[in-house]
Amino acid sequence: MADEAQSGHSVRIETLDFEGPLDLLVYLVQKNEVDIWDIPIALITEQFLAYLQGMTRERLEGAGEFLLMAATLLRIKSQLLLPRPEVADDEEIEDPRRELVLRILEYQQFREIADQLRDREAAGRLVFPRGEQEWIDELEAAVPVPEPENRVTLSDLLRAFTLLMEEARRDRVHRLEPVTVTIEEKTDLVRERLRRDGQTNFRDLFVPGEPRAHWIVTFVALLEMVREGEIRLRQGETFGEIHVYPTGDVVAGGEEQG
Amino acid sequence: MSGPPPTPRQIVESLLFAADEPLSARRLAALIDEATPGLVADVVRELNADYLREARAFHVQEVAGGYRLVTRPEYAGWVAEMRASGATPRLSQAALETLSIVAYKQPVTRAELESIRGVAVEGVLKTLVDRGLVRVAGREEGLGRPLLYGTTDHFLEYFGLSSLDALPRPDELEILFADRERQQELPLDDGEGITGEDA
Repeated sequence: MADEAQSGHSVRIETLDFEGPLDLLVYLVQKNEVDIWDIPIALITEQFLAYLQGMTRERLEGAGEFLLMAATLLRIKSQLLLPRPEVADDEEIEDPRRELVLRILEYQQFREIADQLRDREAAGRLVFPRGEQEWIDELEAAVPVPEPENRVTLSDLLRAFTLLMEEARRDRVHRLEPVTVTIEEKTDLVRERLRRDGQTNFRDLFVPGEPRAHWIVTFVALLEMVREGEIRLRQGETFGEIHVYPTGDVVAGGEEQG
Repeated sequence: MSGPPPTPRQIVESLLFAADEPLSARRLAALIDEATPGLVADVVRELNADYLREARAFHVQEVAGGYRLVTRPEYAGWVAEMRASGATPRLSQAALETLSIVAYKQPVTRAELESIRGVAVEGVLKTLVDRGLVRVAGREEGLGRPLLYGTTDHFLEYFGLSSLDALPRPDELEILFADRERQQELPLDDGEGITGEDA
């Protein structure tokens, strides 16, 4: 953000990369040297839109967040242009910009903290504790790096689960017990297993002889964990055994640029 | 093997030397007969004074609620080269911003993080969890019971913080937070703000 600020309407900021719409807003507020509590919305909106137009195509996947902010800016701008409603003297008038200003300020605070953490990180990289190597080794040893495997689709998962349930049905003992287990408990069991073994097979999470209702709860727990991004499911071959991994351990790096 | 009995200073030094994680004053005190955490703190100060006077290449650092031995920054070049295989990349801006919010708002959901940063944080969170800086700290009650995230002890170690209270807290931070509360309590002064520059 060290580029020379350019005054006037034709802003040239598209060469800069921003972490997100708030990052861009902070930049515009600082560049224009305006009072944060009295932001000239028309000017900022114009420059914001100019940046959007300059966004390169490959950045489009993150454009949604910028578009959302652009819509917010335009809404505020239109609210400011509307005639003021008749209000009694003691009635509150909400500045349409206030919420946005508070967001910008909050974001800015965390950026400052991030700056300080960066300094601390730099300082920390110069000192070496005894035993840290072991910590890293432990971490690496705990999680075997899996072979490249295929993603598991929902239909793969359903097929595997249906198979399991059919096998269970062949077990002639029918149990009619109330479901006494919660999704949280099953989630914890899966976590526990992953912590202990680093990974597990989908099948092994369903204890033979357990009431089928428990299996369903386990299944729901797994679906939720996938949705929350806590675990990843992978399959060596089509219809093959489904493996469960904690997230990240099967994902190569390079995801930091969020 | 004869000689004077070991002093608390020597015992603490041996424990710190052999430990692979920060040892708290309480833990150290429990390991030494008739020692209090206060005595341990004194002993650590003495040790550091000795190390400084003797120009040793390491000293005791207070971090994550405990003490550990670390090399001095002057030797970073050599030690880093020796440990090159274990070197971790620096955290990205996105990761540091996300980590800052987690540190202050914990336990916090992904949705809250995204609303403050204004961007998706899924990939960044994953990186932070992988690096042992952030952990799942539970689930929020309510719709969807989203996961809650918090910082780890390794977070404190990584940034050389003795505790969460030692987090950098710029003066303006408190003022702004306070300001925000005030702003929410008090009605805006009539006539200000709404008259726009847009006229």
